Amino acid sequence: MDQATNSTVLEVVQLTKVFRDFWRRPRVTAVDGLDLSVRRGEIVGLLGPNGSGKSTTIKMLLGLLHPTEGSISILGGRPADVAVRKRIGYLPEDSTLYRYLTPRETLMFYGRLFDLSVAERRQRTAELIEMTGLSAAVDRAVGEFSKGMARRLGLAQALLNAPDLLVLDEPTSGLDPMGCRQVKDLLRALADRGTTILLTSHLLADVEHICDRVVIMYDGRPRAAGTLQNLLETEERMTVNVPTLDAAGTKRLLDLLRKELDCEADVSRASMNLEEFFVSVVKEAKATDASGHGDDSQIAAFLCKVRGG
Amino acid sequence: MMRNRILGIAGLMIRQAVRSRFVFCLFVLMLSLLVGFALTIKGDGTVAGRLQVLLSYARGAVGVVLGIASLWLACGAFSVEIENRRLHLVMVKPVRNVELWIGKWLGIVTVAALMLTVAGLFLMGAGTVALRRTAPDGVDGRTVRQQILVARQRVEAVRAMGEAGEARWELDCPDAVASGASVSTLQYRFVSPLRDQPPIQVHWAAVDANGASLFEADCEAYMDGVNRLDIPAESLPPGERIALVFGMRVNQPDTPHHVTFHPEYPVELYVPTGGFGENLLRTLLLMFCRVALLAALGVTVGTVFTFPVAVFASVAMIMATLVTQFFVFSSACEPGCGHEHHGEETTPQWVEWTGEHLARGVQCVVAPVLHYRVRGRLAGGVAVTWDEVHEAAGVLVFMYGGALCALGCGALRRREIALPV
Repeated sequence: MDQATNSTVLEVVQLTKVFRDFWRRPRVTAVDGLDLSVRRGEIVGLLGPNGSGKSTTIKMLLGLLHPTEGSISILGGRPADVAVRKRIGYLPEDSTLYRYLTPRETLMFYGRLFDLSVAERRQRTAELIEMTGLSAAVDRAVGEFSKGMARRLGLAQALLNAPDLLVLDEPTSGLDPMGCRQVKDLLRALADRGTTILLTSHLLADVEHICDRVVIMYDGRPRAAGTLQNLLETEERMTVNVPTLDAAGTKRLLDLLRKELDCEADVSRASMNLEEFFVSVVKEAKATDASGHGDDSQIAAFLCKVRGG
Repeated sequence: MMRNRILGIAGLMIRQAVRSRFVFCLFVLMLSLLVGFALTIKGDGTVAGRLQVLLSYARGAVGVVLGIASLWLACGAFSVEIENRRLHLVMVKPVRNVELWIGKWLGIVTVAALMLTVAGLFLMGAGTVALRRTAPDGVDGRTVRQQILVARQRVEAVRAMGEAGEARWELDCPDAVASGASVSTLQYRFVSPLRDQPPIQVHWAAVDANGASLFEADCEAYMDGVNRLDIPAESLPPGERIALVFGMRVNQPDTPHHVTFHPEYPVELYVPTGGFGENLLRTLLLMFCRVALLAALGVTVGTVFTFPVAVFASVAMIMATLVTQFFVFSSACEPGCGHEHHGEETTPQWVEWTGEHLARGVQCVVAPVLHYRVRGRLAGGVAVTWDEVHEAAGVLVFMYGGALCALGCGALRRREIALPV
């Protein structure tokens, strides 16, 4: 495998998808000339409002839709290649799982499709059920699951084959804040170990926390792309972080800035965002009362086993 | 590896059929039909008549119910999963289309095989009850044992030149006769406009190739209806050609001096070659081949259409297959066939030619599908042979099923699974 293939996991050139009606007349252009390149270990977010072409793009990358124009190179092959599919994990927008199966049966079934041995399947199934906090519901039919539980199981099946490329459509949708946080931590940890992740989300805070790069799409076209730092940095203002000062100290700092730099400055107390606050409260509660949710140690244990990390 | 994935998909299909209570409903429906038939059928009042009607109706009903159920399940195998997007998660896994198709089909035919086994056990039970309820040497008991609960090979006799005043047929005796079989049955019919006439006295003889007599009997025969004559099984040499010679005994003033054998019902010899159990097994296997073909049709059509359209399209194809023979009959119009146009309305010759050849072409494709039928053979104690079962498996399952599999896989490859339905 050459260097380019090693580093570039996904290469999309001028990808276009036109949906046609029954008479083959063009009805809507869902994706229009998308160029995208994703390197190994990156987390790339596809952002955009509803109907901007994010899910269509993902479905083309997975071979569920055929591009009208353009080319896709994924893990060095075509989306339809069986060898390529072996290395991909996919979580669809809706967790469309078989409702008559239990979580264990679901994972055993998908594991069989990946040609995992029975022992391997059993081991990974047990680990993933534990990791996704579904141990208490292991013998319940998936049809009885809440959206969040189905989402967790969907994520588990996406990780079953220890994929090189993880494609996630709205991974945190339907999850409670703790679940969101766990998923984000997991994705970050996976990326650190070399897994490439492509995800779409409406929740910008999620994307901001975990993505290395984002592509913002609108009306099928990429409107902005780059690292979060490049995209979000404003040139007009800066933030200086200092330990909390008393009133006199604050006044001295402002006087200094005005006098020495001749600029307008203001001071405000640094605050956590709501998610950070929520997580800290729940963590505190967890210390006294164990719930069914998996924790970071379980995620780490799973990663160590499946990726030899 | 491929087998592992196929079995996984088949297992999922079976699990879904069981847990959605499809199998349970099918089981209850089938059992209700079978028990309902067993309790309500009266036949001609004899155990043999009742058993014959039960075997005939029950087999037919099981075939129809299983055919419809398998087609229904098969039509939804892909179409429903495409509609509810469950197939997305499977299609992005390292599974080939052919594995997916075979897995789904295998799951459906396994359910069908299970149901056929249940039906087979029931029919076997019905046979056993009939045996227990009749004495072996009574008329009813002999009919049950010699004409129903038996596998008899049907040998059609060919008319041959005979001496003046006699009618002669030739036939090849089957190679193997069932051990313990006591009689073979000669069956024949006459053409007669007369009804309810007293029987006539006839003479039958069987001779071997050298003219040596094997069997002779004087018996009564009716001008209308089917006549049967029991011939001791040991009289017929296995695997050899024999001749059957017919003569009349004119001993009453109003007895006809000659008879005409019915051209549509040839002289036939039924030779016992096996038991009921084996014949039932072969019958069920033949039915299984047909159900497997229906399942293949449903699975393939489901890869192209939505569920209701797939069901409709499959049923339409089956109906079209069944009526093709009538199209061929009505489109063929040879000079002198009696269908010449006498009115002024004429169809251009090329249209007729095209229609006829199109119908013949379609018939070439569908004729083998219609060929492997059980009809009344199980109830009539007529053998379904292993050759027939092997041929049916080759043609219906591997040839036609394989062609449908290729079509289905092609459709899956071309189809954009994630397109809104």
